[in-house]
Amino acid sequence: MGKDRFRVLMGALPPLFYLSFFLFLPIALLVHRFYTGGVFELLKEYSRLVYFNLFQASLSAFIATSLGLMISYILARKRLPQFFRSIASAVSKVSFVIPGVSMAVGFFLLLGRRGFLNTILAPLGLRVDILYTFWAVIIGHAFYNIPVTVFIAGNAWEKLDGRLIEASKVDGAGPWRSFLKIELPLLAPSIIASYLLSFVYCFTSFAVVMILGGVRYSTLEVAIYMYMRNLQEFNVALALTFVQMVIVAGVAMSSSLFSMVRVPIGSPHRTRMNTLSWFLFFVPLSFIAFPLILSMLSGFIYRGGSFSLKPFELLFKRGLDFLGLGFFKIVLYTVFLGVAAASVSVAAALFISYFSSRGVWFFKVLSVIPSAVSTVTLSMGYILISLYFGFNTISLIPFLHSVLSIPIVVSILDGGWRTVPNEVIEASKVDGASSVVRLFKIYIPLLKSFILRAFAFSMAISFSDLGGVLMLSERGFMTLSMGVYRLMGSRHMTEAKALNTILMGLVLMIFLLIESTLGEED
Amino acid sequence: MVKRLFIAVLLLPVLMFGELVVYTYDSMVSGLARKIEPLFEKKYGVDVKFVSFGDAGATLSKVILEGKKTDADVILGLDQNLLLKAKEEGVLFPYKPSRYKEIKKGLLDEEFFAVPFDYGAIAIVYDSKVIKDPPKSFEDLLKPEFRRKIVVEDPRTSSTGLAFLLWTIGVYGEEGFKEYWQKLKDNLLTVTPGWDEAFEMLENGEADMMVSYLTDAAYSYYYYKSLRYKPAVFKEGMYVQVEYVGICRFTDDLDLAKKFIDFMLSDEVQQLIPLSQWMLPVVKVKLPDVFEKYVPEVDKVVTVDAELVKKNMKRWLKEWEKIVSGY
Repeated sequence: MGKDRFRVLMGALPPLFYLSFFLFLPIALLVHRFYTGGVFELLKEYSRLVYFNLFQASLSAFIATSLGLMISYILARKRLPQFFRSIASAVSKVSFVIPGVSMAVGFFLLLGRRGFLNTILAPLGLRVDILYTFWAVIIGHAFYNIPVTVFIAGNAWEKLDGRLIEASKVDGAGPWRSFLKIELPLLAPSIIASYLLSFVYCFTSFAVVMILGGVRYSTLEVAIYMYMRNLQEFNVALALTFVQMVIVAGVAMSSSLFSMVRVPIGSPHRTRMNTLSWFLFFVPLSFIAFPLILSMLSGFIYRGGSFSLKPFELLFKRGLDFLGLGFFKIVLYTVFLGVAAASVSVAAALFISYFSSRGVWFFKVLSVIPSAVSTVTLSMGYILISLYFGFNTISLIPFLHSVLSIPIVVSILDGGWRTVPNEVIEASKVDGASSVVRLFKIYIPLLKSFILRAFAFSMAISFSDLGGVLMLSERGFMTLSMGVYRLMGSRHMTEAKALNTILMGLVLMIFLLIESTLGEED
Repeated sequence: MVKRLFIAVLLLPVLMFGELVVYTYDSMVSGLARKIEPLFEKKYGVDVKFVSFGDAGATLSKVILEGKKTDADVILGLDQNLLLKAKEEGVLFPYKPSRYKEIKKGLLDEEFFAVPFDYGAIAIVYDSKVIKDPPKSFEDLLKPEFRRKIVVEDPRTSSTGLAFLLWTIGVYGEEGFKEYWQKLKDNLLTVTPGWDEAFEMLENGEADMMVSYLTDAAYSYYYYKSLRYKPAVFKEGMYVQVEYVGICRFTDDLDLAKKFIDFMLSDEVQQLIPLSQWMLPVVKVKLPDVFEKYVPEVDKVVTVDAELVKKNMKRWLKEWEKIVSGY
């Protein structure tokens, strides 16, 4: 027993070390340098905003999770043709990582006053005027957060042992009863984890609330940005970051009530698609697919006019020359960084999620914290690390990116660990296999699909980061998102959108690749 | 001994040629910087390194963060508002360049902590295909026909947006601006986090007007031969954004840094300003034809006293937030 405890402790050390060094140390250094107090005064000043955003995030997350569950249900329990299956699981993941401007363009083209919807509705005398309202914020958040649920809850649902459902059918239970009695309790941890993460992302949202909503829907993140970037009042920015961290940690703690449920796995129980299934599939998917497709197509629109390849021609003729770096070099740097970040992230998350899935709520709470700290704040802390410890800032970027994806990667792998039966863990211990052997011979093969998906997600998060790479990179280094930013900042909008379409295409390809390898195995 | 010699040999090229590190904002690196880097290197036989960390605000944050340990010798591209902060934080070293008397009036920092190298007015830019009777004043912007047609950038996150807010304060005063925004609110479609999103809205026909720059028409004519989006000149006067270059207080090569400041004011650099920065040079040089033709003259400049800005900026931003959010 003593030896066992020692082992657990040893296993807990690497993730704790990782989080202390790459998440808490940078914040601590910033606090040490700049923090002079004032959390409570700020809390008073921003209380109204905080309350409103707690409401906004609860509702946004509820809607996003519900819609996400519909897609997850179809993917897990219906015989959806493979074509739709791959498209749906890939598409529903890309939206999570597309940058604010492209998302905005997608929504303008869809819901704007000269958008797609208003163009087809005009002959009927109808108009959709939903942008810049509270509902636009909700729709925008659904767009970004449906993937969270499809990823976390959907994954677990697909793994759920189909025999349990068949058994309940034999007992005479209809689909609703079997869902409520059998599936829901087993899936509760992953549904709650999905809701929690969506909530946190909606609470700290920036682009959606600002572009689709307006000043009225500002979040704390907007205020943090202002103090950090434009007023250089780091003290206030840090105090607001604390407020955000406390709220997020609080929500995470309350969600860990259901933390000990295991998911019995087996081959899925799938029934035929019917009209209702198609409805449940396409309605939520349209929240993602339409804006996403339009925003990908926006790279082909030349100066607000018609579709053409001209933007790409301009990008390769003029835009890349302006950036001063070869296209393949930029892609290579982007992919390399993504792979490095994802490797670190998945490795750390394997440990963290092992504990969180076994009821150690402390790790669950820790894993959500990164979402409460804005990338720019964290990068500034990394700059201090590099000054104090003499590291190159650029060598810290993979770690920064790994931390950014920790919340989602841990959630995905947490769901994975829950599918590993306790007996397997116990049996392998009895066998006397060393922890390292166990990890590579037993756990990693069992968790393969979870690991691959988490890896892809983490890569995509690395691809989409801008604030961090801008602050920490060096001359001669550029990622695709940095290229997009630089082109936009110098009024090369057409070229920027073309490059952005390439970035989104790359993310889509990675997800499709992963899904198809997993599909073949099934 | 051998070791020391070895190190000395390694250090030799650095000592001989020197290196100047210029911190600047992102788009500068691929634009103007690429053109002037070889010029300066050739002139002084040194290596110049332009590095960026995002926008000018991020760059200033980085310098403040690094303090004494910073690599920066020169900070390039602070606007007048960030300059106030940079002075307050004490990261600049004053220097009076040789050509200071030739610099356009009204742009100088009186204490010479930094020197202007370009400037340009912000303006309401409209889609001339849709708007036939463009606004000629701030009062015109309030016309009911422009209801929900205008987008502005958020002054809390965008320097263009902040410039626009200060413009209204310069025109209407510390109290009057609140009343003005109260009325303007009805004509705003939305407020965007940055210039990019606002421009997207203009190009996609989502909005008819946005806050942008007086050189916009010249730019789009030069690159796309189109004059569809035109700037409006307001009779109350225009607000000018000024970009400064200053020596970092922690530089290890003060002489070279001074040379760089003088270099930024030289004719050869100033001539490059219009077509690479799309701003105006601060000393008299010949302007390219597109500028002569498509950049309207500014007769009257609106300013807000720097001390006033420094003292009240935060309050103004909060008041603005309150008015526009309707809380």
